[in-house]
Amino acid sequence: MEILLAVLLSFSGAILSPLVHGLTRKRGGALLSVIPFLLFAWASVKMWHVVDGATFQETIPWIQSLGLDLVFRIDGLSIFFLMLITGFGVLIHIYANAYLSHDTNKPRFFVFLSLFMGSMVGLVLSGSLLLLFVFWELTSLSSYMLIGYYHEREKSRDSALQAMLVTVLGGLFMLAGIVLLGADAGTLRIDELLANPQLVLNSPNINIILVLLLMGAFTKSAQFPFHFWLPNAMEAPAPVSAYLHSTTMVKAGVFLLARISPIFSELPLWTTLLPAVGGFTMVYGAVMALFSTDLKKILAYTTISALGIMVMLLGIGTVLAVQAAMVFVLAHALYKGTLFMVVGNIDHEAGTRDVNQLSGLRKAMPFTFVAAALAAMSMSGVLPFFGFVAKEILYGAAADSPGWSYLTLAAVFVAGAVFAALSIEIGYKIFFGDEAKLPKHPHEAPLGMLLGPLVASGFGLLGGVLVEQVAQPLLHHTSNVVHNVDSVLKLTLWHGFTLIFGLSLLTLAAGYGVYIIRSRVRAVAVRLNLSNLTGPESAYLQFIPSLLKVAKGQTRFFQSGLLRNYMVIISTFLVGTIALVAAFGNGSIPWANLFSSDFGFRWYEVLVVVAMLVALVLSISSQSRLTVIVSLGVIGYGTAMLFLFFGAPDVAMTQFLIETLTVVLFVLILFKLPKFVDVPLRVRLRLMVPAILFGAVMAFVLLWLHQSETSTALKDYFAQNSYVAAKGKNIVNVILVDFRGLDTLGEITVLGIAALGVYSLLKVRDVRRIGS
Amino acid sequence: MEYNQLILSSVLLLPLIAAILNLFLWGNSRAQRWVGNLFVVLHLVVSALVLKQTVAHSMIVLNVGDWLHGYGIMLAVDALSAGMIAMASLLALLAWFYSYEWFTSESVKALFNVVYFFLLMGLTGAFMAADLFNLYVWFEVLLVSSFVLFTLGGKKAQLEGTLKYVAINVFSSTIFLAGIGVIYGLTGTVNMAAAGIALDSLGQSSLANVAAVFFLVSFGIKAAVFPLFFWLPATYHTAPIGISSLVVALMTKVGVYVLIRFFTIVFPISENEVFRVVFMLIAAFTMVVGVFGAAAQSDFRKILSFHIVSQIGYMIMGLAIGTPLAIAGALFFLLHNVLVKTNLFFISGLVNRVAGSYSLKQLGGVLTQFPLLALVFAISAFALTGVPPLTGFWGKFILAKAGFMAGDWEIVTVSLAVSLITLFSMTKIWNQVFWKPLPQGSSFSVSTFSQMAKSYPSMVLVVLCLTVIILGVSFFPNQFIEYAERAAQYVVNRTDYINAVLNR
Repeated sequence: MEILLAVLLSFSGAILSPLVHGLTRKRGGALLSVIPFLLFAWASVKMWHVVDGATFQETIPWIQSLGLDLVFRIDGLSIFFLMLITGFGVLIHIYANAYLSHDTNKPRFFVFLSLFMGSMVGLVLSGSLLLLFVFWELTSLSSYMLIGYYHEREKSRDSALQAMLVTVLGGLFMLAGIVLLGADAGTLRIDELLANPQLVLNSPNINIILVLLLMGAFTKSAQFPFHFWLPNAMEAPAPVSAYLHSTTMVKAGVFLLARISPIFSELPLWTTLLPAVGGFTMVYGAVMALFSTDLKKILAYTTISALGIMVMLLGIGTVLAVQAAMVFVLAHALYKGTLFMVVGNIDHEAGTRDVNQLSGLRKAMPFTFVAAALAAMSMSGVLPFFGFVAKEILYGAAADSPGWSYLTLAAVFVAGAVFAALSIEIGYKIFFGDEAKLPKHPHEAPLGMLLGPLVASGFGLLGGVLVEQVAQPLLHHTSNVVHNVDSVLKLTLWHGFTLIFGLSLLTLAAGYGVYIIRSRVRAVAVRLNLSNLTGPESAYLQFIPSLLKVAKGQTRFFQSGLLRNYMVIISTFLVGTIALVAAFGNGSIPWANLFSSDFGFRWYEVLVVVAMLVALVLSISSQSRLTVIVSLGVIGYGTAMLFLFFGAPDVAMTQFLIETLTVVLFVLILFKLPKFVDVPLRVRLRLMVPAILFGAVMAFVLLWLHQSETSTALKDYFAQNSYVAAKGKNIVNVILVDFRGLDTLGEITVLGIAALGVYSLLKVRDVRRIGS
Repeated sequence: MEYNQLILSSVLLLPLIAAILNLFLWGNSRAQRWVGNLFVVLHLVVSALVLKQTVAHSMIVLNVGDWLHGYGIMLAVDALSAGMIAMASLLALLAWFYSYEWFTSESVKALFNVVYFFLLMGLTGAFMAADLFNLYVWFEVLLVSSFVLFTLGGKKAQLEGTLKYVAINVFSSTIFLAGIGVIYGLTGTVNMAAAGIALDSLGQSSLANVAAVFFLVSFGIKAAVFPLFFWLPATYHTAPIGISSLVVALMTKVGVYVLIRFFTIVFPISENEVFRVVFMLIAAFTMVVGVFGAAAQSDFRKILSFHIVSQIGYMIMGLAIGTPLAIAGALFFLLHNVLVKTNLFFISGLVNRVAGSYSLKQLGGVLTQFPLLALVFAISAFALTGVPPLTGFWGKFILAKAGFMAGDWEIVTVSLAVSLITLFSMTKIWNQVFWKPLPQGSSFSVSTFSQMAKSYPSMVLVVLCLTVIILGVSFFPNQFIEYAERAAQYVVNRTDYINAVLNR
């Protein structure tokens, strides 16, 4: 129950937020940070056991009919992400409370933020892939609400929708993969799958399953070509960008890959697709970041690039690469979370995020500057920051990768250089130099907005200095879970003057070079219109309108509003389906017998039928309503006559009555009716086709039916029992009132309701109705 | 009379008694109201008792008139029927209270209070008929009473929409009747169980296939599947919304129910390749065309109406796959859809009451003004689109699982793709009605949720109740899924049903 309670606790802010804000509007969000703090403390305790080699698992029955229990699992991997989520949760809660202090919708923001945090906690603690998916989709949903937080702006709404559609699209693929995996492996529990990967590997659909799962991970972790939602998601308030779109949610895809890596990592598809997609995303993101001048866009694209690095490393799949991926997850979270908060401060206090406009903020915003500088140094990989450790091990893994190691190294070098260049820009350029004229007069952000960046960037420094004491034991277990073999993670700050250290220095030098020429690069990019390149996004942008176009067209066609079209479609469908099943069903059609049976026409029958046909032609061709009514009456009388000829006088009498009444009623109201609408001959001719087909098929079915022998058991039973048991000599009467008395009750009721309907139409008017 | 038969006949006759009582109370709408209140509750209670009995005994059969089994009219309630009746009864109760505040005219009230119960009787009867012609009679009761309810007040647009509704449904009845004729000609009986056995012994003759097409088309019209759904979107302006949403929700589910009943008990399609293909195609097109229809609309109610069509496709998908798990998925989906869709309609009615419009263009700002209403809408909307852990997800999941296990991955692919467009069209409503600021020239008649609750207490209460029910089914779906699985098992292994009805 312990873990379930923790998950529930992580959601509890969603309910508590309105209450807490009712108590103290100003400090509500900060007060709510107690929740992630408690969780962080709990996670730290758990971590001690995990470091000692423990794994926790609990199962609470939930939906047994679907084989879905609440299985939660704490191991090296989940505890690492849990600490990341809850730790940043504390900082972001406090930060957001200050950032949104003047916002009337603040309580609602914290509802969604808590919903998100809960989903994320649940996601990483899930011990079953299906349960993981449940939380996975909830993160998309809460992200939608948070990106659209400024919902009165159209751009916000569009970006929120785009982010959700892209991630949910991936989620649907992933769901298909999970269902397929469950069907083939017989279980979705992670412990069972990890213990016995053969369950999955033996499936004939293994590659399909993997691709489907990867679609989920790639959309969530913004891999090319699904990355475009992430820069657009920068419409969200800064705390959302810092929390969801750099430190936690976008890493859910990486988490998923890490989770399933022990099962799939030997597959050729895994070791080719992941490095290719991740590597390309890494370079693409870095280049796009360099082209941008909006600070948030820069951070978004470098995040995409960083996510590419993680995916690539997991794809390389060597022990060192997996260790590097996990180290980099932590390093990236610490510096990127900081930088997003820093940019939030700048945007909040200076009113712009344009790097070209900003400079000399150091004096006005000293603490923000400190945090920015620390984070930037970690991002560029300067000794002794944790980012340096990450960069070293990253180069080590790239150099060590089984294939394409030079290409990989070169790509990492390019990304590293761009990261370094942009670090200089963010950590140095905008804070030094002359104080620029800005939309707002800049001043330091309040304490609540400084705590987060300072703490996170401080950890970036601390993590480097104390790497052997803090980061190593935790990440050791994390990476062991990911590659499922017991190996040693050795993290040290100082390796000596190795080749890789040389490469590190070279990266910094190259970064400085890129920094110097960045304006020229951007100018070229603008001239070639590269920075506005929509790329894969144009597919999305074209898809939605064309979807709507198709949708409108088909709806106009089917829902035309004309009753006659509906009738045509229905009867054509009936005829077509009958033809289909008659042609392709079992058995054959007795064509030869259809017309050969006992057709002895009597002359008066022929006479009646001819009269009916004449009336039919008249009713179709006439321009006068009266003629139509009378000819329809003739057809009805003819039908009744036929009933009479074939020995059903009672039915015939009923039919006569109905026809007479119908004609009389119609004639009575004839002059009150609106003008007769003349349907053009062309349309009438066209309508003849389905009508004739319908009639022909009905006749065909009847002829065919005529071939089969009808059992007389029911008739015989009625005949035997109607006098003996029901005391009635007229069998038809007995059927109506006794054998099938309930039907008659129903039909009487129908008549009664119809009478009420007539009354309603004639007498009842005036009802208050709004809106139509 | 045994207890079982007593409750079975009560559940059918209670609405009739209520209708007759209210006829005698004509002119005293307060008294009619109280009779109504009493009887909707009674009906729900007795339905629950029936449900309980089917859980214990698997089936209750009532041989009306005590003629030889299969020769008179038989009423039979298995887990499927009992579930449908209970669901209809619950919904009827909620819609009854929701419609409480809609009418002002005394004569409209009087009419409504009577005809509503005839409708309920027709629904109950349709769910328990084990006889094709008897089913036809209940369809007539349903059709005529819904006609009267749709035309209450008699506005021109209302009559126009209702005319199409009636014309198409009369055509459907005619086709149904023709089908009954063919079945009688082939088998000499109209009892579903007996006809099922007789058709078995004919061994899938082509003529049996042809006969089944009549039922497919006729029931398909009721269920509003592609390409027979036209009546459904046409009824959207018949209003009042409490009634139209009830009728539309339940009429389509009656259609789905009889499709499942007929194509498992009478004419099982699980072994019939042609029919499986036809049903697969119908399911796929229904899902796609319906959701495209929804995406193309810009009216709150119209979007919801087209969604019903799309979602019927999921239920047909379950029937087409045909395994017990798939049909269980369809049944769970059906329950989900009835609850969620009705709630969405009810919410649209509330929005209409306070903002005076159903048009997305004229609406906006509901999130800022009535956050609680927005929350309630969001729960139902995301449940509809199948976001876990809400009801729609479980339905979607079971169907996908059943489809993959049966090897029908094509239909699963379609169903998943459609759910994305469903999401798109629901966010259209969320975007325009809840997020977007209230456009110039529009205003709200009340300014807070509590004022809304004061002005329309029972409407608000019903919406809140339904939301709680939806959340309940979402988080504790196990019992419902297990029930659906049992019901599905029972119809797929048809022998128990047939033996119980024919007392073999």
